Parts: sequence; structure tokens; C-alpha cells
Amino acid sequence: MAKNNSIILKIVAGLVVLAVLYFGGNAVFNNNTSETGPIKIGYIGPLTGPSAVLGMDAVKAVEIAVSEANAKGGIDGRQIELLIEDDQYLTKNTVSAYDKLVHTDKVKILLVASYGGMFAVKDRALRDDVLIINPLDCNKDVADADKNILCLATETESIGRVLAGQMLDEGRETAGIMYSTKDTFMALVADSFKKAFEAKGGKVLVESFNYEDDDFRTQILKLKEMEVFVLLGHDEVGLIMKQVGTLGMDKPFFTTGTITSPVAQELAGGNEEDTVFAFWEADAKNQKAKEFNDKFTKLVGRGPILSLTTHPAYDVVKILTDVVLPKTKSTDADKVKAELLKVVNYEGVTGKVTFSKEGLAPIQEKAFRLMGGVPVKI
Amino acid sequence: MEYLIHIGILIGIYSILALSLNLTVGFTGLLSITQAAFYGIGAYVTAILLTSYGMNFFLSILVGMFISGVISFIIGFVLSRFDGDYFALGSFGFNIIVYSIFLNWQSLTRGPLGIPGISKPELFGLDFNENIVFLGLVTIFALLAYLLSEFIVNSSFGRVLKAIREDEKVIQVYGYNTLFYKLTIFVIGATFASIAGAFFASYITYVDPSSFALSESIFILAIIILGGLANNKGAVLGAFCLIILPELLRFVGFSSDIAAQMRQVTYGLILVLLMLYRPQGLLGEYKL
Repeated sequence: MAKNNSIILKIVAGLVVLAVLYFGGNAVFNNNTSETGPIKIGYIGPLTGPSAVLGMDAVKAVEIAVSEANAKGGIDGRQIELLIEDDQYLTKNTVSAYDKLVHTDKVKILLVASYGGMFAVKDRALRDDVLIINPLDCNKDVADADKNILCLATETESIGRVLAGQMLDEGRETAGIMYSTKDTFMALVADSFKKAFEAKGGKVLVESFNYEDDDFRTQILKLKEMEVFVLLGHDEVGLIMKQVGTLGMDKPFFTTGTITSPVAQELAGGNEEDTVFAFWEADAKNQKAKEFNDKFTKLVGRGPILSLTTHPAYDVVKILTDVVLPKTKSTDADKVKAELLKVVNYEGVTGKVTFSKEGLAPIQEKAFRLMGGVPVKI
Repeated sequence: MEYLIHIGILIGIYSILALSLNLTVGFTGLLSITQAAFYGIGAYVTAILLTSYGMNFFLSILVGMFISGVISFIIGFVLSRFDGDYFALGSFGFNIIVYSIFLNWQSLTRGPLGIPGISKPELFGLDFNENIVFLGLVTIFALLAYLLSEFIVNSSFGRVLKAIREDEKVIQVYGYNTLFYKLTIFVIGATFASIAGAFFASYITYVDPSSFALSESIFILAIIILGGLANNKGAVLGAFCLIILPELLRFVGFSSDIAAQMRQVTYGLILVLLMLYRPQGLLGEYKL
């Protein structure tokens, strides 16, 4: 027992000393918050775990924007410092990362790319005078300028509307949806599709599947009477397409931009051809987007996997460093928010960016068709 | 300071969870992998009652405990037919069922969209909006959970639990109805977990199914294995270590390109090393 107590004391004492040294040291020495020292911008998103694809490229995009600002001399001679925290797309971790960045590193401007985590830190942001910008999801549930939450990203619901609109244009009357329950994103898309399609008299049947599933035949057979399949998931969508083919069905597929993923296409085994999908990619004539793509490819060794994760994140930081911070000269949340809400038709890599008074700068997706593995705008 | 308070609150919540699971796994020897289900039930009950009915937080805890108690009684009764690995598999299945209900009963739980806007506790005009006050409240409940666990395991009831863990057949020979003991401790553990869930919901202000997946049950099990089975101090110590360790690793100066990945690798490596050198856990009195 005495030996046990000694172990407790050693471990607890060791961890407490480490905690005090790290947390306390950072709190004491990181007080150059607003007027002196580097201007800090934080990023919280999934960098590891199954949702890492939503964050890993976005971080690179943000790093490019920050390095561009610093190469120009920063803001009034102050460099921009980027602080990155991984939350694995888990709400609890988003809050931990938020508290670390805000209270220990004294960050006042944060990019948060986790849907549930956004809601968890909403009230905290207002209390702590922190401004949060979501570069991944943008809708009325996410943005709340009164609570210091803004968004510049693809509008999640627009994906459902685009798919429903295209289906109606093709004269389709029934659709079977299969969506992944891994995160809120696909559920939101399924919901918006259902509303838009049913509003025009369409009939919808809905089935869901878990992230780890690899056998979808039960759901497929339940939906076999439907004219088309709407597949809302990540790379596993390719596997579903293959299993539909294996079951001898010849159904048109409607899905999201994840079908552009080489893994999804490999899994689909040729069944993905002619798939209609909602997608966003930068305008081919957008020179800034071309330059960004070149820089990204040079840094990472390949192009962005999902443009909707990288381009909005890049634009958020560019707007901050090129337009907002030179005017506010501080990271005061109210001042930065006020300047952001004045942004009208900013020419960014995502196109012309304008924030509404509610804090939304949504990007609309468009309908594409996959032809020979390449997206072709419809 | 706020960051430390935040970590303190998480340690408090996970201490309650670890203590609750230790009663079932550590002291009774029932390898349950379903604690996240009761944790989730407590969280969702509080979330729904606070956001939809404006109920008082403390009343919602009682409702959550009651619902978790009833469900755990039914599940425990079913699981009581199994022993050892089969019990673990059955409890594993129950966690998946509850997780699926959180995901798919959309009219009640909002499915994967989760429930936002959960308020902080209030009692007789005193609110717990400040995190430091909330920490005090969680600490009181964690302390109560600890004292109650100590009382249970040191009572004659607790001695029977340990006897069941060591050899159930022998204790049955002495005329003890082991089903009653196993069921009772399973229900008590579930109600403790639902209290932790209520605190989690109110503190984070948002719940969604991903917080109560199977991986969370395994995390709670890892806490008590690391801290040491059948030792309440070990459960609290395990919660302390497994919550604070990944946070400390945020401050290790890895290059930003690999920082997130290195945190995961280092975290795993430390756990492996700990288990190599202390397979019975830090303060363990029993090995699975």
C-alpha cells in the first residue's frame, strides 16, 4: 500500500509540475495579445482520425495564406503566427483545443472546421470575445454574427438542392437515399435533398449506414424499386456503387464531390461513370485560384483532394490579412467582425466573397457529371 | 487558468465514469463495454429536458438516473445469462444499439445533427455559468461518487461482489443470490454514468451521438485498466492521467506538419509502455 501511495504521489506530482510549467508558463509569457508581438490566428479541425481529409489540406491552405502575409511584412510590421490544433472532429476535443488556444495562447481569431465543435464553443466565443470563422460548413445554423460566429464555406444544403434540381430536370420521380451517419454533414445533405425533391412531388425512401460498414446490400435491396440512388458518404460510396452493379441493377447514381476521390473511383470499379454529383471547384478563369493551386501543389506535392476544404480556408485568412487586419490593427473580435461584415465582392480563390449581416458567406455547389473519371459541368 | 479549469471539469466527469465502471468491471469482474451508452442516456435526457421542457438541471439528473436505472436493469437481466467474454460481447452489442438509437430516433435526438444550446445548471437562484463554479459542482459530485463507491466496496455487499469476481460458484454454494448482486451493481454503475452524462451535456452545451460511440466505452475501460482495477483511487488516477496526457502533448514542440500525428503516436506509446511495466495498472488490485 505504501508503495502504491508513493506511485500516486510521484505520478500526480510529476503531471502537476508539468502542467503548471506548460500551462502557467504559456499563460505568463504569452501575454503579447493585441498590441505587440505576432498577430495570432488559430485553426481547429480534424487532422487525424477518419475525418482528417476535411482538415489536413485546409491547414496547408491556411499556412500558404499566412506565409504570403508574412512575406509582405505582416500587418504593420507584426508577423502572423498560425497556431494549429487537432480535434479529430470530436466535440470534446474541439472544446479542449479552443480553451488551450484562447486561454493559454491568447488567440482571438479562430478558424473552426468541426460541425459539433462549433456549437460547443459558440457561447464561449461570445464570453471570451473571440471571433470564430467556419471554413467548412456554412448555413444559418452555423453562422450567428451576434455570437461572433461567421462562415465562409460551401452551403451544405445547396448540395441537396442541386441534386434534387438536376433529378427533377431529368424527369425523375423517385429516389432512394443512402447516407452515412458518420457526421452531421451527410444527414444535412439528405435532409435538404428530401425537402427539395418532395416539394416538387418526388418520392423519397431513406436508408442510412455506419462509417465502418462494408456490406450495403440490405439497404440497396430495400431501395431497389427507386428510380435513382442518391449516395451520400465518403469513399465508401464507391463500394456501394460496385455492390449495386454486383446485384445486377443498372441505376443512375447521384452523389457528392467525394466521388472525385481516386479511392472512391477505384472502389466503384467502373460503375461510377456518368454519376451526377454536386461539386464545387474554382472557376477556371479565376487567376488567383490558379496561382493558389500551383502553390499548394508545390508545397504538398499534389493538388487539393477537396477544393471545398482548401479554397474557403485560404480566402478566410487572405481576407483577414489583406483587408481586415490592416484596418483594425488588432485582433479585437468586435472590430474584426465589424470589418468582415463590410466585405463585399472580395475577389478570392472561391470567387466574389460577400458576408451577409448574419455572418454568412455561402458558396453554392453546382451539378457535374463524371465522365472518364473527370468532372464535367452540366 | 480557464484551460486548467476545463481540464479539471473533464477529469471530474471521467472520474465519475471510471468509478462507475470500476464497480462493474473491477470489483465484480463483469467485463462491461457499454458505459458510454448510459453516459449518453444521461446526456441526452438532460439535453432534451433542458432544451425542450426547461426542466431544472438537477431534476434532469434524477430523471436520467431513473431512465438509465430501468434500462440497465433490463439489459443487466439479459446479460446476466452470460459470463466472461460472452458478457463483454453482449454489453458491446448494447452500446451499439443505444448509439444507433441516438443516431436514428431523429424526432427525439435530432440524429447526427445533435442537440445544441443546452444550458448550465441553476439552483435556488445560484447559477453555474462560470466554469470555476461548474468545476466545484463536478468535483462535489465526483467526490460523492468516490465516497459512495468506497462505501459500497467496503460493505458486506461489496465483499460479496469481490467474492463473485473471484469464484461465483463458490459464493452460490453459500446461498447467495448472485444475480441480485450483479444486477444491483450494474444498475448502480449505470446511474453513476448517467450523472456524468448530464454534466457533460450541460458543460459542453451540445450533444451528438459521436460522443457516446463504442470507442468512448473502450476509453473508459482503458482509464480503469490504466489506473488499476478494483481500486477507486486508481479509477480517479486513471482519469487524471488519460485526460491530462493528450493535453500536455499539445505543448510538445513537434513540427506543425506532424504535430497532430505525433501526439497520437506518443499518446499510444506511453500507454503501451505503462501497460508493459505495470500490467496490473497503476494501483491495480485485480487483473482481467
